[in-house]
Amino acid sequence: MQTKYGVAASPGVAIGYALVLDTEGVRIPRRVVSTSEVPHELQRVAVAIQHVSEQARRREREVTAKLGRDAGRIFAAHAFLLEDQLLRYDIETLIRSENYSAEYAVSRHMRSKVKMLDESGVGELSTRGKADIIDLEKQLLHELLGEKRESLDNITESVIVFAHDLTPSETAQFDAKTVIGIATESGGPTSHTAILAGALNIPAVVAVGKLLNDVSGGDLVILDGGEGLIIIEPDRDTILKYEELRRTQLAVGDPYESLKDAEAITKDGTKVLLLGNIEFPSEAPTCLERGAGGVGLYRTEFLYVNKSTDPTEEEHFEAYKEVLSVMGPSRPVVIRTLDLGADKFTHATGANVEKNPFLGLRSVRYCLVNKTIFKTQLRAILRASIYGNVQIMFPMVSTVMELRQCRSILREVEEDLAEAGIDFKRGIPLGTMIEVPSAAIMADVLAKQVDFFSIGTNDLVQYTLAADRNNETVASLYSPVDPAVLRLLKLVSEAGTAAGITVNVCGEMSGEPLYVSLLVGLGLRQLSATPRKISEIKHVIRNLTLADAKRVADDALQMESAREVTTYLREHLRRLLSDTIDR
Amino acid sequence: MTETTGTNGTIHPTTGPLRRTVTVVNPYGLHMRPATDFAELAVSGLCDVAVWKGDKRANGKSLWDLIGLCVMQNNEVILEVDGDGANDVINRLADILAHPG
Repeated sequence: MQTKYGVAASPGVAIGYALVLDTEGVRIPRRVVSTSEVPHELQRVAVAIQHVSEQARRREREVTAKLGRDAGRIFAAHAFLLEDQLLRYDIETLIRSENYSAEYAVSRHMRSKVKMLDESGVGELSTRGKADIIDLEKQLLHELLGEKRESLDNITESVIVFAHDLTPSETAQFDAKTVIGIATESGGPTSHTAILAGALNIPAVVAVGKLLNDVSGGDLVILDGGEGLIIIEPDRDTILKYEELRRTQLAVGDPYESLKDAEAITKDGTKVLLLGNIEFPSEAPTCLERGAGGVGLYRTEFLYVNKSTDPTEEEHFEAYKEVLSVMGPSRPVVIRTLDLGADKFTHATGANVEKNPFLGLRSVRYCLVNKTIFKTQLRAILRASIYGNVQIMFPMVSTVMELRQCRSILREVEEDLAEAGIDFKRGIPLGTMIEVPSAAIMADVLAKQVDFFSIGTNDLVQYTLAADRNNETVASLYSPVDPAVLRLLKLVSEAGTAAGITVNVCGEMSGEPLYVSLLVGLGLRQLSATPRKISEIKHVIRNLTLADAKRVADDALQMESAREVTTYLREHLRRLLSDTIDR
Repeated sequence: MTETTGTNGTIHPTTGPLRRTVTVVNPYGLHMRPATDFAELAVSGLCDVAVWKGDKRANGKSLWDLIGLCVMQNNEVILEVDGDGANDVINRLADILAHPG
């Protein structure tokens, strides 16, 4: 039994068998076999080792002929490792004594060897040795699994996926029925994996650090996404404890389920519009199921990342049309234009690596320099506009000049479309994200250029306090209720109200019940959050009065530290919600 | 002095294993390639071969064992060879361990 700690990314308990993605590339179908099958498994291992070592010898000859002896020796080493009687003996012992399947015994044994090299921790020697052993593991598994190799899209039984990192598209294709948990070595609480796992209701732990060498495909694991921990090969008592915990959590379910169709309205009649944040078209139906009044933030980065070429206009168009069609003619769908750093692009080269990418050429700044990419996206949005209530939002705007440029580029695209006789909606509402302090300070000026604001609290907090919350040494500085942030929120809310435009909040802050009273008190009437949080937010709003919310905001604005504000808000929320229980 | 049992069942005295201390100078230590050369040579003969690093012993005919020793540059190991022609074998094996490249 071994416990690993990471960042709690998506709540819930999962108990199941591990599927290790990065190193196997294939999944191990089963872990144990019945005693009568043991001889068969022993034979399979012997045959697989034989085949793979013959392959290695063949490669040794070919490579030696082509590239010389030194290169060929790599495969001689592989063959030698496979021919070693010790290897067969160790793997066969695992099958005989533990009834392991051939695949699981191979994986288990190779992983223990890798781990041994890891622990002795000696630079190049261990790095290279590990790579060789992992290579052999892969080859043996491929040989054993042969035709049965299963890719991710047809997982049929439930597994907990382990990976170094997952691409958004990999995560998005997971089905919560089969992928019951996700654990990654890298990532953070705002990483794509975390956001998606939350949207898909799959318990997840990220940023665990070194993990994959400690777990073999088929190991029994417990994952607690609420606590951020993973237990590999738990003992009986631990399993019983977590099974109980899982049952309790499932029985409670979503306590706010009944509020799905209720209005988000305070006790004294102030309405708040609750929208959903999405990353992929496939999440749009979830938004509706969770009672969202529309999509307040449709991130479009998935179209760009992990692709060898930039997305085509058609790819953009299909992704937008799909969401607009699901949301219908009146519910707003706010599409945020590309929000990535230059380093994320396929054509980015090492030559122009930025020293400080978060203060560099990213988001709208990148788009204004790379107009072709920008125009392709805008054309697709305009073309999709006839399918619903689309709105366009520009991220990371820091000056009014940028907004003017965005508008003029949009106008050019509109003219192009009109000339080509392509149908699109005119006068689409335009908005800007407020996530750079300069934009918040200049909100009254920016308000004249747009139809709405959307406050991206994650970045606004990070840029205001100059603190990266994924950097644990400064993470304590990062708080969405730091008095400096609260003053900016007030400024933006008032500027929006004065100009008569909508002000939305789409950062993680709006999905956190603790901050709801404060945001409503600051004058905000629209919140966009991860869909699974919507009912809970609604519950808080329905127990609030506007006078109460205003007092909370006034009090908080008087305070001098984030800690003071947090304590105050906790106490307020506790009282607010305990009242509802009494009643 | 140790004793071994011959194939004909008679007991006869031997001189025991030869031992030699060798310093590994390869910058990557005893990595996959020299270890393969070593094990191949060890397997090709009839002598028993062992390598000691501190109190850890590796069977010199097993590449897995040799890699598992994690011998780094400037580590001292004790090479132990037992059997017919041990003298020649230990010289050749020590050359591999002491080889700089």
